[in-house]
Amino acid sequence: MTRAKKPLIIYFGMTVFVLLFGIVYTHFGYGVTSPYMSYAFLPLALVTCFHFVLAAFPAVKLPTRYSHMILAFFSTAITLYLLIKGILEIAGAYSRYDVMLLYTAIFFGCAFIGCYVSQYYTKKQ
Amino acid sequence: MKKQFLSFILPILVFCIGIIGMTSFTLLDAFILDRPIVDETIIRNPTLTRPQRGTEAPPSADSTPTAPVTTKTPVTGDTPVTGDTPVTGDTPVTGDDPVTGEVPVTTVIPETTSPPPVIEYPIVSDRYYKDENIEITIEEDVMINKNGVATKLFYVDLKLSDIEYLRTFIATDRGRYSKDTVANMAKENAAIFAINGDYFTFRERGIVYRNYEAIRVTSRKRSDPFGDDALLLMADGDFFMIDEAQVDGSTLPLDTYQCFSFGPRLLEYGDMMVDENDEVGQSANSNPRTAIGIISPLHYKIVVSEGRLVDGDGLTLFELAGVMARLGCRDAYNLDGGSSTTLYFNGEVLNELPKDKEREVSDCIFINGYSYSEEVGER
Repeated sequence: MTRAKKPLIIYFGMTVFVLLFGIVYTHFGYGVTSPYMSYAFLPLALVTCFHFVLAAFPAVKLPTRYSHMILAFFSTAITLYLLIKGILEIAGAYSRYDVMLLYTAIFFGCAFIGCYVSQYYTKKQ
Repeated sequence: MKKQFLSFILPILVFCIGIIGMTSFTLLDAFILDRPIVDETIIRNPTLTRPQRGTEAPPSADSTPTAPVTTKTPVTGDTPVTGDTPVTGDTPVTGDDPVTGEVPVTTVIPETTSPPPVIEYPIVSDRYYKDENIEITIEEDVMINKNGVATKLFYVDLKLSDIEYLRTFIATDRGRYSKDTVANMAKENAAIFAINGDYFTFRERGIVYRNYEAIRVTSRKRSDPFGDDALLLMADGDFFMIDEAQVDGSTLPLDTYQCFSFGPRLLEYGDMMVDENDEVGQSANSNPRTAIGIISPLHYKIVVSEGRLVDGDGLTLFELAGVMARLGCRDAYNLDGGSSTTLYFNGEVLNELPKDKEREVSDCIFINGYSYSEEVGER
């Protein structure tokens, strides 16, 4: 297994797990659904696609060695946020602290974009 | 090794601890930690006026509420007939006396009748209750819903002589997780009849008044999952409904007896206010439901539908509104439903519950029975 394929398989597995989790959870929710739960797999699916591009086109590389970690942090935080929000919505419960996960995800999302931007300027110099 | 720890393992550790902490705290806050869900200090500014109704009669206006029945003055045939009996237009005149010109008057003596039976209240049966001030009639029906599934319904006809016979109760200390079953709350209050209310502690916003007391005045927004329709039950027994988003909760009229914050409104002055696609939040279309409607002040209809059962999945809001319209309601309002739906009467829960278990809710609407009044003090 090449270095690029390993995260692809991990992310794909995680996407399928989250998708199945959402389906099973909604099934036992007396028909109460939540778009957060239904689409919680989407960020992971997008990251999987991104890794697919990395695996298919070796010329495309992540800018720094920390980028994998930052991307993993981002996808973990956003997926957890969506799952928690979905669970709360289906249960009809409410918490004002779920946004902490969203802010964390936004922070790491911005950091990941920052890695690309900094790489661009580094090359230019 | 130290460099690898600092650059990779430490950030991952910090992230994992942080994310686990945030997730745990969110779940704790949502499901376990309690906090008051009512407004601590409320200064009322009752400037809101009731909306003006049209002049035409409501679709199926009923007569005035049942007046108290007088049972202690039976009419008997022992009334003495005297010569002072006034001549009335109803008195049969037998003919003129041509000599004296006097008109002989024949007084009709009422037949001796046995006195009507003195009714001893309360009258209580499995599905009926009546005393001098309250009449509750419960009927069952089966309706085929849009999925072709038979759904059991309970129609409650409620007539009161005063709105204060229809009371509400909030479980324990009004915290977010202060809950109890409707049956327990009913027994605690010695109620003959009870249904679930609006479960207002489920949401952080929503105007709530109970038994004239302002509990919460924070309005919901139109974008809230449950909408922003609130039901006001006034001191004269009338209903009206408001959009919370357009109203400051502290401005409700002083004679606001109850304000329920759930919805949506089903009927307003006979008009259907929901369509086939309307639903409460993200709920499934067919559900157990509880709705309250008004025929005329102090005459109400309550509909409870079963659902989430093997042999019945419930009603849509549209179907529920149709039922309320068929019963002749002028206005109707959807209360909390789903597993919260509970109809309690005379010591038992009448509707079959999902999972055979009664959900604990924050509040209930109830009526004290006559025979139970000693337990809660004389009314």
